[in-house]
Amino acid sequence: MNSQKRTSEHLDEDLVARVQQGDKKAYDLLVIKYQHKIVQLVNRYLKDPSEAQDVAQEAFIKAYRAIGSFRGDSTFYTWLYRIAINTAKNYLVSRSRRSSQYEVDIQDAEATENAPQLQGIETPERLLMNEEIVKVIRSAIDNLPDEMRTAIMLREFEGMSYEEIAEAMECPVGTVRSRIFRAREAIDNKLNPLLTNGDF
Amino acid sequence: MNEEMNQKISQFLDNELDYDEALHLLQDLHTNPELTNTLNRYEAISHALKTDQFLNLSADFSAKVSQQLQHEPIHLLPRKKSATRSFPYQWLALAASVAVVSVLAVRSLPNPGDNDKLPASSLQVAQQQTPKNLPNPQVDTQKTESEIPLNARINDYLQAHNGSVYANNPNLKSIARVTTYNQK
Repeated sequence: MNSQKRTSEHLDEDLVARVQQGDKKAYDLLVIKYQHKIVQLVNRYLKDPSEAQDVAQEAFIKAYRAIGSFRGDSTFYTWLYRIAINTAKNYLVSRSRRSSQYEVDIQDAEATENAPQLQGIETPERLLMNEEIVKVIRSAIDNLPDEMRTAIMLREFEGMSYEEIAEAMECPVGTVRSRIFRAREAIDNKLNPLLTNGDF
Repeated sequence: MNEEMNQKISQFLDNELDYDEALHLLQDLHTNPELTNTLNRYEAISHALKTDQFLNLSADFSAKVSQQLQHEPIHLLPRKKSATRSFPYQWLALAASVAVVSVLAVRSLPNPGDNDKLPASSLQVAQQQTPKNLPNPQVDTQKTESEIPLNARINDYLQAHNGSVYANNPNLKSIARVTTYNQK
């Protein structure tokens, strides 16, 4: 697991070095790699997925502008994470100035950063849709064959590496890889009709 | 092919791809929005499992960022000095230091071939060659034994080792002389 982590960090370092040498495409790859994490992070503060995407885009632009000063004292993701949080906080401040209706306490936002369920300014329709989607995902997980369910749960809930899961389940790493992928595919197939018809 | 790519996306999400595979996949994701959608859905599923909140990213998110970056100036920083470049010089300096220490160590070792040439003991030579203007170390040691017990110990040591193989070594003879000379 550790060696994989190092590999991932090396990839980031190399991509950052390429951006610093004028390669904008390398930055696109960093955006693809971290876009989802950054939008999730910003959404914890804003509690509005569409606004979160706009603010996350702004955070990526700010990070690009500042990347010349990135010296690798922390990992790229840690650095980007800080920029995203600051951008979200600034957005909240400016939004609260614009309208008292959206006044948000930043400290509250920080306190609920890791809260599993957020009650935000999402529309009731969206909340209902979210509820339905989560229900479908849970149901899909319950209907998975035992080995697949165990593999995906060890990965998602316990954060175990493929090697650790292989050891726990007494099977080859390749089998774990395949089981986790099949599980995701099965959930995705159940979800697809909802996503194509819905607002998400 | 598509299934193979989706499996790679699943591995990428779990940080289980090596450097080259991850880089190739990112390049494929950059040019193929369908693959990016799959990554976004897998990420959203993973997030929903942990937080009960499904957050599906718009397919053109990265394209929008890229578009905005078109107007941004490119960065052109001086290349960082690779850490590996300085290594050969450091190793060279270390090797040179080791070589110097080795040469000095070898030169300071006694020459075993000289042992047979000199029958006299080091103690005898030391006593014979003591300069006249210096006090006789043996006598001096007897007089001031309580004050300078170190001299007594050195002389005891020299006498005890009088018959040893090393006692006839000319290198050790000079050491014995110097030792006696220094211990006032």
